[in-house]
Amino acid sequence: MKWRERMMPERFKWMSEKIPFWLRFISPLYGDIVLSVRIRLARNLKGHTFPLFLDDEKRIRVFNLIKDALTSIKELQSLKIYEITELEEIEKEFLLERHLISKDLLKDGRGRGVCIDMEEKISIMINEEDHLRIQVFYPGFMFEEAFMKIMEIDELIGSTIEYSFNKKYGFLTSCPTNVGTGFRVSCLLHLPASVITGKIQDIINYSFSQDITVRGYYGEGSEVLGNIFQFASLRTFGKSEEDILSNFKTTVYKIMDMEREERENLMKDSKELLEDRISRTIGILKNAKFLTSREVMEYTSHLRMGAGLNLIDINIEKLNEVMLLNQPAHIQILFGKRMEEKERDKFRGILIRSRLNLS
Amino acid sequence: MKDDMNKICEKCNKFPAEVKLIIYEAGKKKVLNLCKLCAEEESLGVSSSAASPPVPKKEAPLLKPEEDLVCANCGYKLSEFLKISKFKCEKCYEAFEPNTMKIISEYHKAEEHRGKIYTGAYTENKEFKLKVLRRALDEAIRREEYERAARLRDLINEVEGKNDA
Repeated sequence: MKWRERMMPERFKWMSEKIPFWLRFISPLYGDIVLSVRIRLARNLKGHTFPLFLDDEKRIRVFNLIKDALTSIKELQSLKIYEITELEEIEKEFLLERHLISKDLLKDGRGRGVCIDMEEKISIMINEEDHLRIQVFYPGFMFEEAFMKIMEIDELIGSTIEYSFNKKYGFLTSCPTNVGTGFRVSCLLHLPASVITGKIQDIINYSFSQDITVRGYYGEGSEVLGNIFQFASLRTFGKSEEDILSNFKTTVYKIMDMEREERENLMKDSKELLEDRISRTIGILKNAKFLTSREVMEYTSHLRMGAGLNLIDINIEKLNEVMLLNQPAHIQILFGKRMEEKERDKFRGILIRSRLNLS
Repeated sequence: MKDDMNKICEKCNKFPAEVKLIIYEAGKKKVLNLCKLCAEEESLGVSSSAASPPVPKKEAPLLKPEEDLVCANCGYKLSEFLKISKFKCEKCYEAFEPNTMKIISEYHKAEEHRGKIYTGAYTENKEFKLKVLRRALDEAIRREEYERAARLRDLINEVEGKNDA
């Protein structure tokens, strides 16, 4: 051995071994299209400078204040709080892959952190762009549940520490694009047929017309992987939270129906081609020695659509699991071993064959 | 961080560059510093003419020094805000009026807040109060501010005393 492998951190082992709530339940009607719904609220504390302008000392002070508040709220006591500087690189990547934190939270300096519940329904980022970014994650058809949950958490926190609020502007945020409600709802949608037929351009145009923006798999500025797009409400001011949610929901259901229609068209015109693609995919997954994460996203997309069209008997829940677990930091934490890219690609193949019963 | 904050989007030259987008073009790696909107368009391969959301594309007004405003609470200037579109503190909103409402209403296409009305913290969470006081006490002792520490200790006793009653 050239070097001794450093010990793998164990902190998130418990998390890596289970599938988050939002991926565990599949919508009976749209499970092959919608993956998840996320709602977030941006909040700041009254009388404190916004995080971007705080030095380490003051940022730590705000962090401690929020930590004290969260840990003294009875209903939130099962949540775990981590300061980012206490985490190792691989753990930060792990949380990013899990959508629980954003890249902005990983900026240099102390006093930034995240608060997570065991089921991963809740993630509260502390001192990202705003003092608080409260987020909830639910399966793609549970809009109302997600909404009720986040409003409940907001009430609990807002009744304990004083938020920055002004009748004219609403909740005050560092960036004027979040002011007012600080409310943003988003969905991950799987739209392979629309990508094949080119309908996706119409969908994007339609979304923009409905004040909804389209992003990649990891959110803002990221690329589209495995035909999965993130749709997110754009405006936060001048509308109530309920109205933003209901407009978003209507639009998303319309988009899902558009995708459904494209799939039916494909089935009419090129069923054999779709079948061929699925068989090839299975062939590759069964036999490939090395698989990249990008390939897995692509192949699970083929299988997911195939399952939705009854062209293949495969469990969508299993596909969700594989999509999550095959990511670089996940693979390493799961196998308890630091690995270079090539080795990861090899273990990825092993993981997929065993999880999808493809040997 | 300062460096990042001063960059302007390389594509539209209007909004602050907040996203680093890496593109592979003809096998060559290219890094673009873009604003959120341009980054979205680039990463989706959507041309800007095809599908821009309606966002103000006005030139950021160049302020004459005498037109600049300062937030009395934090010392932040309107001219600094216009560069990066981020407020420094809650008081900046009022301090930069009438510019603030103009910017907000241009982006959100609305002129008044219609969402949740916040009426302030109301719970008497003793545990929270005690945690905050104890942290302040530790800090005072660390800084050897004993008078302050004594006052804090009295306060803690008072809160705890109420607890017993």
